[in-house]
Order: sequence, then C-alpha cells, then structure tokens
Amino acid sequence: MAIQPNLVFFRGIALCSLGAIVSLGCSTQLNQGPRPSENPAFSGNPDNPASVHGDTSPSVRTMATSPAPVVTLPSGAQCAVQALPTRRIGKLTDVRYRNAVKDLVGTEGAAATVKTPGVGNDLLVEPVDSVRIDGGLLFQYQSAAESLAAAIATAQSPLFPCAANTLIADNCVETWIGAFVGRAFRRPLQAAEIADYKALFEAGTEADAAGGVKLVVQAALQSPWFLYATELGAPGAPPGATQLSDDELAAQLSFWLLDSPPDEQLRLAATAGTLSSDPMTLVTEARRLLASAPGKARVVDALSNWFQLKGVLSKPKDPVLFPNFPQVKDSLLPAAGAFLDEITWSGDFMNVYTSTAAFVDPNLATLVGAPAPAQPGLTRVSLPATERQGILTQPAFLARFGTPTEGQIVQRGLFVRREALCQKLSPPPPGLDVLKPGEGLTERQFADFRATQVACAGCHTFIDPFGLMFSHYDTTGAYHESEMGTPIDASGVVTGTDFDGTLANAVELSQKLSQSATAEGCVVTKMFSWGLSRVQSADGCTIEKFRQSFAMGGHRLDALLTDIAASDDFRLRVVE
Amino acid sequence: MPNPTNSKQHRRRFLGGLGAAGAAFVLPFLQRETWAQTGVSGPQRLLILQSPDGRAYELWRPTGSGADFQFGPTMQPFEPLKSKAVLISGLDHLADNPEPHCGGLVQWMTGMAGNFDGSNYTSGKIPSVDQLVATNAAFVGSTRFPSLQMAGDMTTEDGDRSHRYLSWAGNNLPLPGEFRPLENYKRIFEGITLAPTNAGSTQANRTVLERKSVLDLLLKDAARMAAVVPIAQKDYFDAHVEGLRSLERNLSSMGSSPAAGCSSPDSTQYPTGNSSEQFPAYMKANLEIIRLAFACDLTRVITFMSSPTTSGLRHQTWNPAIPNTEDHHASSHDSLIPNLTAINAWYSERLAELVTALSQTADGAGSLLDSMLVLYGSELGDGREHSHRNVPFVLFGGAGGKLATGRYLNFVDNQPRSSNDLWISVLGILGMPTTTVGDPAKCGGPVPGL
Repeated sequence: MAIQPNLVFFRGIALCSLGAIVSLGCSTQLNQGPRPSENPAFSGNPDNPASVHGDTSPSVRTMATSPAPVVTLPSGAQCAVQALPTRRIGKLTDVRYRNAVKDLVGTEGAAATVKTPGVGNDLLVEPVDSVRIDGGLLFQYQSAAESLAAAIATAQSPLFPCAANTLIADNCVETWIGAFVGRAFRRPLQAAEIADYKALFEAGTEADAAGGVKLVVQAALQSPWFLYATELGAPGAPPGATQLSDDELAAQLSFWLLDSPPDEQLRLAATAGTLSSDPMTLVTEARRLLASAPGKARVVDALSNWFQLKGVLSKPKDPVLFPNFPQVKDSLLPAAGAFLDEITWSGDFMNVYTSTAAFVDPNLATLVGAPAPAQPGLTRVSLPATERQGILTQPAFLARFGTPTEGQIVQRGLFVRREALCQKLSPPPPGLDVLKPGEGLTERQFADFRATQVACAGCHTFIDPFGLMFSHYDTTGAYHESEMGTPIDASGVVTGTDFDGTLANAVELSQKLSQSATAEGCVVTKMFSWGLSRVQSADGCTIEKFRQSFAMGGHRLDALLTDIAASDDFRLRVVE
Repeated sequence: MPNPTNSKQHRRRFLGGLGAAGAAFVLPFLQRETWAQTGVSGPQRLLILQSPDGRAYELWRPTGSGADFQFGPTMQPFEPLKSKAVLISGLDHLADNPEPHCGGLVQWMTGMAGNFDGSNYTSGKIPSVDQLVATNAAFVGSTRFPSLQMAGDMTTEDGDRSHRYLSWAGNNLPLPGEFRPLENYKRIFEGITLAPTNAGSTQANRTVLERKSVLDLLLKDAARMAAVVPIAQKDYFDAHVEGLRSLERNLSSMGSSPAAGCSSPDSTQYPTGNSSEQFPAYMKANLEIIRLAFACDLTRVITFMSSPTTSGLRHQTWNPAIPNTEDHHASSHDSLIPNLTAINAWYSERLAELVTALSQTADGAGSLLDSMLVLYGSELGDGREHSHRNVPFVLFGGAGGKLATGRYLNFVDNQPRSSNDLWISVLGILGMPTTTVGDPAKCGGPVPGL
C-alpha cells in the first residue's frame, strides 16, 4: 500500500500497550475464564490456544484507580522520624573503576576492556548495590591487574619511591604500602593490612624489588576495598544513625560528581576531618567539583540519562520516509547536551521545560525549521515559542521515543508520568486478550480505540493524553502544523496532576510542568536518587523540604546539588 | 615470616615456602573425571538456549503426532535432526507477573513469579533451574565451572535491565551472560593446554604461584570486608568470596590434558564491535565456545540468551530478504509475519547447526549430543500479544540414555499446563527427581510421556 508523507500507518497490535516497558495504573477489571476463539487476530488458526484460553490470571483484579507518586509525601507529624538510607557497600561502575585505576597507577591500560556483564551506562541511577562481583568479573579484574602490574612494576618504576635494593630499610616499603595501597583503598590501612601486603611484597621480591612491587600492584587493583565503595560509617556503631567517615564522604562526593576517586584537595580535607565536622565543607567541595569542566559535563550527562536521550542512537527511522535522518542523528545528543548545559548553569532549572533555545548545525536547522547557520558546529538559535519549548520538544527526546515511522504515544506519555512527574503506574497483565481494531491504523486512531475499550482505558487515560500532545512532532522530531491538509489536534485531557484540565499541546504541557509543584518535587527526587545512587531516593519529608527551598531559591540546580551534598541523607546512614 | 637478611635466603623462602602445595600447582591435572554417571557416554550435560519474544503459533505449529510428525515452517531447519528431538507444544508459563517480558523470563527459568519493583525491573525470587543443577555436586563433579552464562547480544536499554537476565542465583541475584566471545574464550579455556610439554613451563608455573599468593591476600581482604558488610548484603558479597575461591580452585587444574573431542576454539577471528550489528558472528563464535566447553568437560551447565527479551535486533542487517524495517520486538507486536518467519527460521538454523555439530563431536563411547539435554525455549508463547500460553519447546539429545527422542508431545487443549512441569521432568532425567519446581501451585507433575 502507498505510504503517504506525514501520515504513516501504524499496524495495529493485539495488545493495547506496546513497547519495551509498559506499565499502567488503572481501574480495570479482568474477566475470568476462556474467551471465544473467533479472535480475528488469529483468524485461520482456530486452535491457537492463545485465543481460546484467554487470560491466565484466574481472579478478577482491580488495581489502583490513579497514578501514585514514587515518593509518598506524608504530612507534618510523620516527618518527625527521618528515613535515612541504610549502610551498604557498592561496586564501582566500570567508568569509576577505570578512573580509579588511572588515578592509582597513572594509566587505564588493560582496565579499559573490563565490562560488567548485563549493565550499561544509560541510567541516571547506577545500580551499585544490586550488581554483584562474581567469578566471571573477578577473572576480568584479575587479567587487567596482571597486565597492568607487569607493565608498571619495574625496579625504576616512578610508583615505587624506595631504592631498588631496599630490603633492609623496611620502613620505606611499609611507608610506600601505606600510601599506595591506602590510595587504592581510599582510606588509611590498618596495621594488619600493612603487614599482609608487606608479606606479599617480600614473597614477590627476588633479585630486586620489581617482583614485590608487581604483586602489591596486582593485589591492590583486585582488592574488594578497591572495587567497592563503602557507606558504612564507624565500625561497631550502635543501632540508629551513624555518620559516614571522612574518607567515605570524600569518595561518595567525588564518585558522584566526577566518577573519579577523590583528588588531592578532597583527600586533604578528609584527612583533616573537616568533611565530617562541618557540612559546609561538603558544600564548598561540591561547588569546586561542579565548577570544573568534568563536573559540569558529568551533570549534563546525568541529565541526558534522566531524559533517556541516549536511546535515540538505537532508534533508526524509515529511510524512505525520512531519508535525511542519518545526517542529523549524530548531532542530536550534542545539541541536547548543549541545551541542558545552558539551562543548568544559567539560572532557573525549570526553564528546562520552557526555554526556546536550541543548538543547531545546518542539518538540524533544516529539521527544526530554523535558518541555516553560517558556520559548522552547533549554533544557538531561538525557536518559535508556539512550536517548541523545552527539552520535551527537542528532536533528541522526540526521536528517542519514536518508531521507524511514527512518534510513540504511549512511550512519550509514560515518560511524562514517570520521569517528569515521578508517578508510578503498574503494567498490564500478561496475555490481555483484546480484539484487534484492524490493520493500518495511525497511532492516533489506535489511541482513540484504546479510549473506547474498558480494559484499556482504565489505565490509558493517564498516559495517552500526554502522548497525544506531541502529535505535532513526527518520529524525527520535525514539527507539522497539519496532516494531509487537516490541522493537527494535539489536545488532551490531563488528570492525576496538579494542573488537570484540557491542554492544547506539548508546549502548553511544558509550561504547566515548569510551574508544577509535582514536577519541582520530581526534579528534587531525581537529583537525590542520582546523588545517593538509590532508586528509592530520599523520603517524602526530605523531598518536600528541599523542594521548597529549591523553589524559593529560583530553581538553581547547582544550589540543589550542593544542598544534597550537605544533607543528612548524604552524610548519615541508619544502622540496622 | 622472619625478615629476610639477604636475597638468596629470600629466594629459597619464596619457592620453598609453598612446599608440597606449590608442587601440586605445577603438575598437570591428571585426575580425569570418570564417566561414572551413565557408563554409556560422557556425563550428562544441560544446555538451555533462549530466543526472544516467543513465536507466532501458526509459524511453528507442527503437523502429525507422536513419532510421525513434521516441524512447522520456522522450525523446518530441525527436520534433519528429528530423530534426536522432542517437540512439545501446549506448555504455558503460568504466573501473575505484572510485566510480561521480564516476568516471562523469571517465570520460565525459576518456576515462580518474580519481584516487581513497580516500574520496570522484575527479579527472580529463587535460583533458576540451571542453578539447581549447577549446585548439585554429583552432577557437576569437579568441572572447572559449575555453570556458565553466556549470551549472543545484550543490547537493550538500561532501563530494561531485567530483560537481559536468564539465570538467577537467588533472590534478586541475577547472573547475566557474557556476550563477548573473546572474554568467554579467555576465561573458559584458560589453563587448557593441548601439548603436554607446555604443562611444565616455568613461566606458567610462576604465574600460578604468584596468583596463589595474591589470591591468599585477596581472601584475607575479603574476610575483613565480610566482617563489616551489612547483613542485608551478605548474599551479595558472598558471590565475591565464592568467586575468589573458584579462582583459587581453578589454579590447581591448570594444564589439563584434553579429552577426545576437546580442542581450544579458534579465537583469531572473534568479533569485537557492536553485537547488534555483527550478531551472526557473535552467535557463531559463542555457540562454538559452548560446544567445546562441554567437549572439554569444563562445565556441564550452560544457559545461553540469544538476545534479551524485547529484542531490538534488526535482522534486516544480515538478512536483506526481510521486507520491513521494524526490529524483532516491533515485528512481533505489529504482527509482521514475513519478518517473524525469517527471524525465527534464522534462529532455528543456528541452533540446528549447533546440534549437528554436537552430534559430530566425539565424547566417551558416542557423541557429545548423546549425553546432553539441550532445551530450546522462549520467555513468551505468542509474542504478538505478550502471551505466555503455548510456549514453543524443543529438546535435543539423549541425556545419557534417559531421554527418548524422535517424538512430538502435543498438549494443546483448553487446560493450562505449566512449563514448571517440563522442569520437573528435566530434573528427573538429570538424576535429581523432584515433585515440584518453583511455585508448587503452578506445578502439575512431570510431563506425561517425557
């Protein structure tokens, strides 16, 4: 069948919710018992058990009637008791491991190929305490450590300050071990640890110290004290709250904002004990790290992960419908990064939803309808406020939530619920057996169909309206006023928010988000999650408290981040 | 250890201090595992392979019954292997898992609904069935690796982490597969030497001795950490300690002599780029590693995830005959039959190649396939509607004489029948009889006729 421009066919699916992760919170009831077998989805296959059996869930189920906030916001009296994070150890991410190797021995070397199976780098919150180190990963660390140690450990190695034949003056070796392994462990060594590493040094030393240095380097790069960051506080602390040690605070701050172990200034502050004795020191140090180029880049990278932008690279577009997309694809992330960078460091962060700024090269300019810039690289322009405001109308975001042919209504809508409002919805039950409406529907037509089906609508009224507001933007992020001569209607009815009502389009939605207390709270929730590397973030009272000061201070993101660094949640842990 | 006073004494102490224990490390691993389990062929082995997103029923529905059956269209590549195969239809992943894709994986492999975090992470609550087998000392003997987890591709968005996990060690303890052939090769075949003279090389011995010293210290470091790890993370950190111990154990089997049929794979042409673009090369390399890992008796339990559920692989990249641009997952939801036909037939071809190679690999008195139980399945039945009903299952191999092959068992009817039952039968075949697997409420008993 002929495919017409700007009206692409989306072949209907048998299930109302589509996509990698789907979740719905809905007031829907599932029927018991087998369904009739004349399911047109499987016409010609009357013995397909999928259509005969119906749903596998035997019982009638009713789910929550509206979306719930991810972080419950309790009222007054409940805030008397703080819910602090628990103590834990957490494996260094691959990036942090590599930077820690480089910090210790001066080069990444073989550590560059170490890859923890089953994890990537697209998440805002690193799952540091649910990714384990097991035999396979230990083998990788072992291979890397042996390779690095062999390359580094010569008797003249700059890493080893003692004379090559220093075996008599053990003091030098002990001092070196304390410093070198102490830097690997990111804390001073206990006497027993120094003794054990010294024994290893001696076992490896023969004609000269190179063998001993090699073994110590090998061990330090594989020690659990190197591979995990600890959040344990003082040993033997009684139940209740305990403060993280200075060394732990330094590492936590540095790994958070730079993905690297503490630099010299942070290490000095830790040794002096000022990080634990005065939270303002944490603020000062956080400001220093955020003022650095790597710190700024890290924040923008985290925000890109929050908005899930990196996924755009695995979202190819139909080459017949969108032949120019390959030319803009590689510019999308840098352009979005430049946008986020400007928003983050120039004042009110809620402008992330309303700014008309965009960064374009000649190809991107064509995509967004801006005049072509004269120079190569990215140039800052302002886009028409009626067409685009904020990150949700930037091509990177729109293309990321788009199939090869169409923008994804459900995925865009779910993002707004989950990531802009921090609300949770539960997913559809498996095997939801719904009559297919037919072939060749547009996303819009299929959304309309879902709205008419009780089994779908209970959940989708909370999702589809948001998604439909993006109807002006196709799967590459280009803006269209009308479709085959008919003006596009991008309006939707919003419920379950602090701005319920009918909204005209994604621009109006973005404006509402920028003024929404729920969205403000979601920024705070997300930044706490990121700072603590904990999906569950801080408790509702803390979030609300920080939301208020975030709002009163003009929504400065850097101020929020430094406040988080000084917060109880950052510094204290509860002892079980 | 007293302080050294000169380097000569120090050297003696280094080599002498390890004494008899040190000597043991330099001897080749002479103790061969006796084929005690069956006496007919090699020891039993278990291989579980997944291909993602289920299959459209009309594309794999067989015809005939019992011993007189024909594979359906996308399973045609298995037709020459029919005498070694058992095809089973009508089994269902029965459980209430809120998220159908990861929930299907967890339900299939553990027999029990998982933990759902309310957003997009479903984790297993109990060990997966392959781990029940891998922790059975009689089954694994003294193999170097109690089990291995491998994959062909791990490309999925990070928000969909649990889409990548087939095996589980316990409650929220995933065992993700390694998809890089080079890393698999280095780890699995380390220490296998094919020329006995290499076993005594000085450099290899030195590496082993040094590694032992380092591991001793690492175990001390780990013990100090274990003493302060919060109780809630005990299982989390135990994996680390157990990993160190397995590295230490494996030092004593460096330089093994190969069994008949055992050789080291050719690692010179392994792909290293993007697995979603070079997927055929990743599949081929990893499946060959699997074959030789079994042939060399380095392990007896392997699980292999071809691609995570909601597979984003675009098979058009290596199969230009596929007409539409959608990836595998989108193809299943858009019911693009030409795409699904080609994709699933391709997976069948790859598996048929592996099974054929297993049948041609010498092992004991027969072939490797004779001793194996190969189980091919998926986390979904009909992926077009996230259905967990009528999941396609094909078994291959003789399981050491315990599995009668060349049959089609058809359980398609109006009654739900749990895939847990297949595991009950499998465990019985592998010498670990049980009456339930996973959730007892989702078990009916062994699969009749298996």
